[in-house]
Amino acid sequence: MNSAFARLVWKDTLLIRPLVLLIVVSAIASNAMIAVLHVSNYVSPLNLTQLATTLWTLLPSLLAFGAPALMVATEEENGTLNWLRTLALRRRDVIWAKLLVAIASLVAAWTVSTLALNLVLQFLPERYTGTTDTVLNQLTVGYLNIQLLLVGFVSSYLFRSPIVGLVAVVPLMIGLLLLDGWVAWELFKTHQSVVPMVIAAITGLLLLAWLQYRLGQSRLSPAHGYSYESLSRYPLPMIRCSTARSESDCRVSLELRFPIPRFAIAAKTMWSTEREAYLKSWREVLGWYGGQNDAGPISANADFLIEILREHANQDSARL
Amino acid sequence: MSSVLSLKNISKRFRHTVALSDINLEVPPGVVFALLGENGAGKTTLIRILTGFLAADSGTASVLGHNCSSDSVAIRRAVGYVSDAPALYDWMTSVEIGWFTSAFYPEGFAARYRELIEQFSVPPTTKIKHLSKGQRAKVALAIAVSHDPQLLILDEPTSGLDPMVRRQFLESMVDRAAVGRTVLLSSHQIGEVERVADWVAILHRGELKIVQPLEELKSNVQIVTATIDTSEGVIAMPRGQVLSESRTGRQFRWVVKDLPSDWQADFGTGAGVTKLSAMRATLEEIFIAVCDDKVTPHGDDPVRMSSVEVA
Repeated sequence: MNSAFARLVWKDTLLIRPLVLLIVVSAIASNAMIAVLHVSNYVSPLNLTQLATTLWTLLPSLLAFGAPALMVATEEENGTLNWLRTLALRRRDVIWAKLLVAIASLVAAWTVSTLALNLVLQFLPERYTGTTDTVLNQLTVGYLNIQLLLVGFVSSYLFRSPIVGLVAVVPLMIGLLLLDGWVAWELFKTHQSVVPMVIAAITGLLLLAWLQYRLGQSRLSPAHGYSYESLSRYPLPMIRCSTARSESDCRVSLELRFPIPRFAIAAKTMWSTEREAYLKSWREVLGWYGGQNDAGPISANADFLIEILREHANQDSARL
Repeated sequence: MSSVLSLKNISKRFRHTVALSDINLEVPPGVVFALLGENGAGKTTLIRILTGFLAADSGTASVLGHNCSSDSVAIRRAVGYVSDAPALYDWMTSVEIGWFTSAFYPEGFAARYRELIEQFSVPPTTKIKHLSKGQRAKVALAIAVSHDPQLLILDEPTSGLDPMVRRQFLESMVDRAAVGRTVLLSSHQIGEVERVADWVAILHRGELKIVQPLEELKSNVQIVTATIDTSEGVIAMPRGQVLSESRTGRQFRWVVKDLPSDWQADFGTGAGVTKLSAMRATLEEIFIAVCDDKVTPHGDDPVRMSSVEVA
């Protein structure tokens, strides 16, 4: 390990240390509480075993979920990643140091969690046939945690905001779980063995590691990859605020603009035709309502509403 | 000697905004080169292109012979950079951050860093989050110069700092130039630029208006004042490159570059001029003449009449 890489590992270890400590302390404390609950006989041993097993699965997953946001997106938000870019270090060292520290932290959290679980299971006579019972199940949980960690890095390198990065992990992970299930089922159906599934799992993890590396490279070298400036060349959703102030007129208006896809320009003619039919149908509905109730103000309101609809339609048309 | 920094036809746009327009610039070695410009003139964009953080839309940029878009690591090894708000790891102490950074540079970095923070009176064991803004800026400067870079880039480094810290920053720039290193200082603090700069470039709305040695610029630019006998009258403008023109009552005022020595001959006895004078312009006056869009700029047309309204 070269000294630059070692210093980056030191820095990332200190960055993630509070989260790792929190997970480790939580694992020990929650298992201790389960032991106390067992001694007190308030909860059935089966329920306690289920709780202990759930915690064993959940706590390392929390670390896998939070570590990338802490190590990439938070650094981006604080500006320290930008400062690192000004120093004479290799981008790959920054990326691999982060991944190495995150995996080591995950393994540490998982080890402490497993030790605490096994210790508490000694007190619980009734074994729960859940995820802890077979080596394959334990490996599956480990695989999912590493997958979650890698997806977290992919998301953190893709999105600059830690919150957006964390939220984006959820649909990405759901999609990957569906893919995992489908691949596992197809492979098992064909080969009747777990070996191809293990090979596929390792390949999947390597692909995710490569993807996060490529995205990390892009993130750390904005001149070559994407950046706010390069993204700003493309139409993005924006809120434009305009003010018009004079002695007699003081108002603020907000306009919500969305990017116009290319195909929408082709649909312009169709929209113009549809628009008229749409306005006509509204007029008929509102006119009928006004006529049924014989209410003048309602009819006037209907015309007013039609005008608003027409105005919006004209604005949309102008944008197209 | 070859240029430390070279820009050829550099242009950069952000959507509809032109940040830089066809910039050509050569910076000689061993000087303090000041890049002046108002906010939004394009100074930071230019520096981001030089440091490889941003790709130009067109043109080529090189620093110390390295291409800015393809050799950014080589550039970062040879260059020190301090931004206006350096974001350091605030949970590290000032000694720790020096130790952390020293791994990325050749031997000698750590020793020089320790000397510098001692010289700058930065407490070594205090966490950066507990340091004052000035002390943080000093830590950032110490990190940027501890590997003895051939080029030091400072992007508005003294904004928000007290006069004592500013003074230390300016002294360190002069010291570096004295040992043959180059300093590129981006600023809109004209007073401090005037104190330390050898060369000045003025950037206005993405265009490079002036690039010249400071002393040469100041001796070449003069303020010509002419008072006429009636407030309705007009007179011919002086020869040379008139950077700006203004009028107050019966008095005309021009900021003129390359004013010929016989300029007074243009205002003969029949022109109605009662008083004529010329004096050297300060850098601030030159800067305003170039950047203030409210004053009337003129080209180099020799036969021109003053056209400004009476103020």
